[in-house]
Amino acid sequence: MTDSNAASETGHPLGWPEKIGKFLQNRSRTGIMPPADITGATLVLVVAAMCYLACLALGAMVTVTRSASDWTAQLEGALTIQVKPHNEIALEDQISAALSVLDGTNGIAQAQALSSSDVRALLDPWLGESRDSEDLPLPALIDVELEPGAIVDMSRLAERLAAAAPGIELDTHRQWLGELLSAARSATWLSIAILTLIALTTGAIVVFATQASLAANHETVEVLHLVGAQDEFVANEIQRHFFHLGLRGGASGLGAATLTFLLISWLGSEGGAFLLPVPGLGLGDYPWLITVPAAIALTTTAAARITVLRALRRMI
Amino acid sequence: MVRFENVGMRYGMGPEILRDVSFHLEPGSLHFLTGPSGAGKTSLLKLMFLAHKPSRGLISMFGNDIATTPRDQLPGLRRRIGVVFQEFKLLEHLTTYENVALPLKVAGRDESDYRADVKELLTWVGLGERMQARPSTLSGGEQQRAAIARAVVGRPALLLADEPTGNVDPEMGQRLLRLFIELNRLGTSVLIATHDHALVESTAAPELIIQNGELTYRD
Repeated sequence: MTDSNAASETGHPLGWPEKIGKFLQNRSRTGIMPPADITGATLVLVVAAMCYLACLALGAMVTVTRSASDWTAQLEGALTIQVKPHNEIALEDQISAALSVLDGTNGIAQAQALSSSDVRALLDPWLGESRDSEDLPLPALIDVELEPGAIVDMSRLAERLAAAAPGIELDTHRQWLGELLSAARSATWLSIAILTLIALTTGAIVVFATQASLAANHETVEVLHLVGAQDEFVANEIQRHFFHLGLRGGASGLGAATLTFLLISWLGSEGGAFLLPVPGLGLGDYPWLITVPAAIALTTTAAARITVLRALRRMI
Repeated sequence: MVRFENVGMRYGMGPEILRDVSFHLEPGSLHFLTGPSGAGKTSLLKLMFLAHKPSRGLISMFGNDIATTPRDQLPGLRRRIGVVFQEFKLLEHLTTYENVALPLKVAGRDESDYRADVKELLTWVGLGERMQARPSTLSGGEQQRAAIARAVVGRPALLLADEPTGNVDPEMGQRLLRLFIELNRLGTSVLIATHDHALVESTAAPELIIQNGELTYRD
């Protein structure tokens, strides 16, 4: 403390690394509260675990939300028409009938029948590349692209297609997409609930930790109070102490969560590790995770401050 | 400066420790507070340094009725009072220098303003070589001197000392008494709670005697 200005007293100008070093040194020494004790170490560990879980929940929410958005964007402008083989009419005639209905419909940008080899290629992941599929009576598929922003009366279009020739069915993907989006919304709400629970739990833990810290440092608080410290001064000292603990725990949790997401991305890209494709976090998603330790440090600080001020107000 | 009128005090639902205590300390006065152990000296001091509320009666400090003074104005009053606690209450995680400078730091003063004054005071009480020592490494007498230095460093208007010479040799005791008298000469009101009759007899200061929770005055 007393030698904090030694360099300036000697008249030698300090470079910026020395200035930052001096600043950090002074910051660590000007705190009136005792340095982190065993309660502090435990709190750092708990906050790190909470931050890790919160990062996982937030990462899952970001991934699901982004995937749902991608699915919607990909499928909202597309339709598929399935043409099943029929005894009364040739497949080519069914396709022509369907294409002529589509030609006469407003809002259709493009309609293209898939070749039989393209249709078989769609089955390859499920049936393998066996030539046996050539003998199967496969339906023909027409891939339809809608004009951007076009509003097409789907039920009317389905009726017109069904009337044009037997065996023609319109698949708007709406049911599948609706169920998928519903599942995505449920996952998002679940993540929000988990994040809320983690925030409340962290707050409660910090309240207990602050009370334990106040009990352990009762004499320090009493002396500060009796030498004329305002409640704000004591609260600032204690909340700074807990802010540093929260930040250390939060940074540890963030580091562990980042490693976890990188590991998931790596395993997902290798393939075979999961039954379903795992998109993982994109580079642009990682900054979202930084909000978690920041929010946890602020929660820690606020909980400590409120607890200290309540305790101080019980004193004269 | 300090006025007590019919003050009573009890801890919780316990018996009354102080009963009908009335006295008045003038600015710039020097008094001793004496009485047997358990008579209520420390309880009376607690009321005076605003660590406890009376259960009845009126306490006025520096012209402020404590019962009606807003809570956020009490720290300002406490900064005008220096206290030497019987058990010292030095903070173990701070150095001797930091402990002594604490009231000035709490008052928001910049360290560059008070560093020289604190060092000079520590030298005066014989702790010039122990500034960076932690309280646990100080002897009982050194801790007491550090506690006294912390109480007087802010030049308080009122100095309350609870057995300030209990752990020092007679020579250091006389030296500390001279410090209190010097502060008193500079305008600080001083109240010294002590068992040390030699200390009381070495000055002509009036004596507040407390016995069984009741206060009497002797010139």
